[in-house]
Amino acid sequence: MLKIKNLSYSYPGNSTPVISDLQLEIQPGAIYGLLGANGTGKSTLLYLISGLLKPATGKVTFNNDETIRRLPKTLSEIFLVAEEFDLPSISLDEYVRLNAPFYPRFSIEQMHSYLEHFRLSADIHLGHLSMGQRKKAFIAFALACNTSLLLMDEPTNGLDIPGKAEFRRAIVSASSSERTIIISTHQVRDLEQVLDHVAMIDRKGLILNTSIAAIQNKLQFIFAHNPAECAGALWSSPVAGGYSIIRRRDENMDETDVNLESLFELAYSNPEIINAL
Amino acid sequence: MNQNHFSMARACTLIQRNIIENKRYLAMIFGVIFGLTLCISILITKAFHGDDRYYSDVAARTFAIATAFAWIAIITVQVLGSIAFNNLNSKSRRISALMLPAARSEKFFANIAIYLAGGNICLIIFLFASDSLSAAIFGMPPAWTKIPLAEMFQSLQAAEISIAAILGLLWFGLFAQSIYLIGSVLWPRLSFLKTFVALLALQIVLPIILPLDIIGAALTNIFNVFDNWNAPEIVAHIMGWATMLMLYVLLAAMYLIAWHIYKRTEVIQRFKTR
Repeated sequence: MLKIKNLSYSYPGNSTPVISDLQLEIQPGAIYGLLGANGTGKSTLLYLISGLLKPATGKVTFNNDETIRRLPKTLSEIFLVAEEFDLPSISLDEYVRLNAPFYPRFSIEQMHSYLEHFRLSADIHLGHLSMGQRKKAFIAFALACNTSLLLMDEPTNGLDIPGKAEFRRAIVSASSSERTIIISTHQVRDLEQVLDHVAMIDRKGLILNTSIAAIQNKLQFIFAHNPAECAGALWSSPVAGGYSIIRRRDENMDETDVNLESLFELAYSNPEIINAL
Repeated sequence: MNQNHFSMARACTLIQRNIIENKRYLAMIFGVIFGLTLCISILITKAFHGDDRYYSDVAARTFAIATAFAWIAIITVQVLGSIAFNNLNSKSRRISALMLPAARSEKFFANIAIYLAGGNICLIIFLFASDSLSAAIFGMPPAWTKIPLAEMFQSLQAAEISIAAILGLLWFGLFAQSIYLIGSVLWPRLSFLKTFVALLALQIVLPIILPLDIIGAALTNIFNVFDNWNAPEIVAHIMGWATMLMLYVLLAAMYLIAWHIYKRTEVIQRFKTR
């Protein structure tokens, strides 16, 4: 289990904290979407979780070990697919041969399966791939490592449209009750169908941390054709052909799919409504 | 491979990984070192090679090779020290290096093993090979065959002096390398340049902030005490070897400093200079 307690961090030379007194507990088996505006510390939070940054205050523990200690056992259970990642100019086979021994649960069969998802051949040379292809290969390796905690920072950046669909399929097939996946992203539409938990942060801390199911239970996300239908909505925004609205859901109302973009705007514009939920 | 303490097996796997993933870079670096060494030794040998008019000056060649190789060695060991942690020279490489499931001590050890131990051994081999090759090209005896081994170890006293000289030279090279090793951990990007500039700045600043003339005078007085002591020869031997030991302890301290800086490495570079 991942526990974040009283976490604060500010970059050197900057007195304003990027993350301030954050508390978060993440249970295994969920696919979390980590959402936030630019500069609210999403990437920083991922670095703090993976032990790449030392918190100013508080601590991050994974399976009761502080991640900043970067113990090999902890690191073998955490994989970070950073927005900027490094792949050497060698064949994928060689890369796997050299790096897989560090991950006890790495599976070559799963790796090949994920490569198939991404329509990549197994006998590729990493130095001869495009940026998007390198990302797909790296994500395939990350998923095949079967770490308990998989962190991804803007994983769909650089992926083409089919690549995003392939990514969604790969993530869904990789999810399990023993694995937690945390995806930091701006591209919420790419991942709406995949996430089952959402955490939204701003500079003041966590403004929302809940499951998609709980949101579906309490809110409806619908398309309104005219302004009259927006009456009583918690939030509304004009879109092509009408309005996108969020309203409270009563028990007799149907559940709708969650529109994360709309939810994000509601959370930022009216955090008190979110808190009241 | 799952234990938290230092594992030699995992360290060796890490060394193999780092060598293969960086094989082109390593080949380039060592290729340049060997190429440069060979070119210089060929040029020197050609200069002292006799033709129809002049005899081959073996002694002069030997001296010139020894001098040139000394300069090459001192510069190369510093360069090797400065690239020891080039796997931290960008954010993405830093993330890859820090997130790899190995102990920090293993990662530190792997870099030291490749660039310092491996690099220094390769340098010695390159020097011998360059000397032998260039000498063979021009039909002259290699300079290393002129090392007076027999005279160096013909007596106990000669052996002591020879060993002390070798250890002293070795210390000098390793110490110079360790300074650049610390620079490599502090500033992985453009490490050699930044470390050189930092040393230059220290040389300018230190005499201003420290009373070096007073310290120098104090040290001279201490040495004079021992000089005027008329102590038995054994005391001079002990003092000499104790000094050598202290120098190597200082060298070990430099590696420890590099280790402590490395342990605290994060994804952002705290000692960034623009």
